[in-house]
Amino acid sequence: MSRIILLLLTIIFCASVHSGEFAVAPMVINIEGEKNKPIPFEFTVKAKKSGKVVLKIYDLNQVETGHMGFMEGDSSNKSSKAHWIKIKENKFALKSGDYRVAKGTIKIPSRARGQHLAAIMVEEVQSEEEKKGISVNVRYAVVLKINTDNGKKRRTRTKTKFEDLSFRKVEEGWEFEGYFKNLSKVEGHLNTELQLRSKDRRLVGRLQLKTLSAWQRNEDASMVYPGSRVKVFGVLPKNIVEGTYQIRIKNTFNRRNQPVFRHEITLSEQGNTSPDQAEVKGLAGS
Amino acid sequence: MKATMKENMKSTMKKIALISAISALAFNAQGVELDSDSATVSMSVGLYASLTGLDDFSLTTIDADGEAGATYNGNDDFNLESNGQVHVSMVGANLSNGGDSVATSYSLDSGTLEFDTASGAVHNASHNVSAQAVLGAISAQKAGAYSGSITITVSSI
Repeated sequence: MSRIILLLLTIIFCASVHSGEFAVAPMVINIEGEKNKPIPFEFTVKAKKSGKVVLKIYDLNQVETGHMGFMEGDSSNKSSKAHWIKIKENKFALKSGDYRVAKGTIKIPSRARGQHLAAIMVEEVQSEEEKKGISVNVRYAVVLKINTDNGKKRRTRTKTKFEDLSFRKVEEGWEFEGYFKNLSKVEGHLNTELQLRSKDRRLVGRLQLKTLSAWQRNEDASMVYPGSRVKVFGVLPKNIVEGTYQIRIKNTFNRRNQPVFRHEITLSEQGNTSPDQAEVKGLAGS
Repeated sequence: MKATMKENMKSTMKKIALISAISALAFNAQGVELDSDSATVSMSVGLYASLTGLDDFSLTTIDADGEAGATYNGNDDFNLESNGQVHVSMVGANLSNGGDSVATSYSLDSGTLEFDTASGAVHNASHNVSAQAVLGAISAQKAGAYSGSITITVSSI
């Protein structure tokens, strides 16, 4: 009987998968204008297969890998960009080959400073029938880069912090990682250089630390957005003799030199603070 | 007197002809300037992206259907086209029938949940999305149809 039950137990994962097929352009819109006045923007959605489209406002935040996370905006929350943005028509149907110009406005609050990010998520409306099986939802994030300075070239104060440097032995050599905080109101490109010097100040090794996103995108520098804390890391591919060294970390953010991070470390496979990792809490600045 | 008048006429005619010639040259000169002017034409092309070809796919197993630990796999290809660098990420939930759920993992291409196209280059290539579900004990999940969802986000950053 149990065998019959076992044979009868069939679990079928059927997929009736319909995904939205459309194209969106542009994917990035730069916004500049006067505060407290509606600033218009628009983008085009073209259907490659017929379907219904919904537009939603999303807030962005940068995670420690350097990638962007998207959270649906809340218009009742004054800190959400949904409070700034209005979409003229947030739902429409498109036939295959048709396109629609989606329009909206942004009203920058008078107290807003620096650069901000928001996104309009363009996604297909899935019908109830299509939700059976594995439903694939493809969506496009149209990023709005909002500059509140209205084109005025202002010298913006750059405030950053480097902290929590740690290192460990890996197969390729020694991996170093640390956290960079952008406490400014502007985004910028970060170049982080780590220098390892012996006690007699001889340069033993030098490497660039970048975010995971920058390594994956094969970029020269890491993009760091306002208010973000990102992890930068790199591997020194050398057989370095165990011992005591001086670490010097130089950060350049938006072409401006930041306080140098200096600390003395001891590289030892056996004598690290923790079995696999040693953490250095140095002082940012010297 | 007649000779003087004739000479005056000739002189006047010469002057008129000279003035006309100079004026004609001046017009021509100005006409040459108008005929050869230059203007700067510029164009800005926005970042464009399109993901197509994601169709139905089912999860199937080579194990005994419904057996404890049976692994169900499925995948589908899609095409991504863009005129600049874009970032693609995916999130997915466990397959569920409302009451029971089955541990499900998803991946894009070779085992990742996100990828970036090449920097500073256009992109028009095929990619793959796959799903794998592993059953628990026989009685851990009821027989029947299970559903789940995958969200793939295409963005510039």
